[in-house]
Amino acid sequence: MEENSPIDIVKLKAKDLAELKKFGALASSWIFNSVLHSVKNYQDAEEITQDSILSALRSLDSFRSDASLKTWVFRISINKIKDYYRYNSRQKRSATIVPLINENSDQEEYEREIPDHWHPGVQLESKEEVELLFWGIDQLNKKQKQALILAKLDKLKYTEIAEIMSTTAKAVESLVSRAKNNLIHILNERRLNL
Amino acid sequence: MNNDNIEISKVVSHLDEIERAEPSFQFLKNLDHAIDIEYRDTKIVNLKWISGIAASLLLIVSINTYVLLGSQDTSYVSANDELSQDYTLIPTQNFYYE
Repeated sequence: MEENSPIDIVKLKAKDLAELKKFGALASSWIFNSVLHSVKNYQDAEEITQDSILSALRSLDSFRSDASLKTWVFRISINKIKDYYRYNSRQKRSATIVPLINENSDQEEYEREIPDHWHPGVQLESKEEVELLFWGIDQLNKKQKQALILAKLDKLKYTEIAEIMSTTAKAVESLVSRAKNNLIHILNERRLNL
Repeated sequence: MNNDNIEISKVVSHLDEIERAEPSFQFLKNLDHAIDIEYRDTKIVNLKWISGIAASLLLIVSINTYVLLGSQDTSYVSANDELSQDYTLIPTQNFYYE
């Protein structure tokens, strides 16, 4: 059940335009942060966020009214992020093949830019440390990375994360704890190698 | 090594300090517009469908009424006709019985 949700599910399912817009604004504030952390490119993050919200609106009929709207939207956004990575890896593969066929083709035309990492957190005084932190988070395995982002950067409750990741709150707690330990280990290794 | 650990712990502690990124005003405006396009159009299409169905129903009802009233033309139905028993709403029926 949605706790203190300002969204009226009945109106939303009836496609009330004002309610749809209210949902859009609220849902984007829920998911934008984690999408940005995952794709590390502001424009792509905006595109995925919008795409996730419109997809959620289109599949509203399949939403169970007793479920949490927030975790449902998060799940949709995670699937969109997976699609984004799948698309990018396909692009990268074709980028290495096409120039081999046509020697005159411009490499830049096929290669997708390495995304610039932009995040408000990087604007902090300790910019270098935060950048190092993001680098470390990227080295974690998928599950640990996802749990850590949702818990620490999105400040979601363990129960909410459990629902998003289809697991238990205890498993999430353990994932976050292991992620933090691994992060410390990864960053230490990097320091030693420098 | 120990000092490094302390430093790394400090780095990791930034996890709790990093502010959440919020979507920009322009993004929200664009999203609003996208929802507008997708659902206002749907509403217009729905209204067209509803008005189309309503018009068809009205036409069917009109034809039915016309046919019904036509078949109830009392000049062709005698007072003793069994059929006339079904048409209790015929105003002239009582007249015939009287």
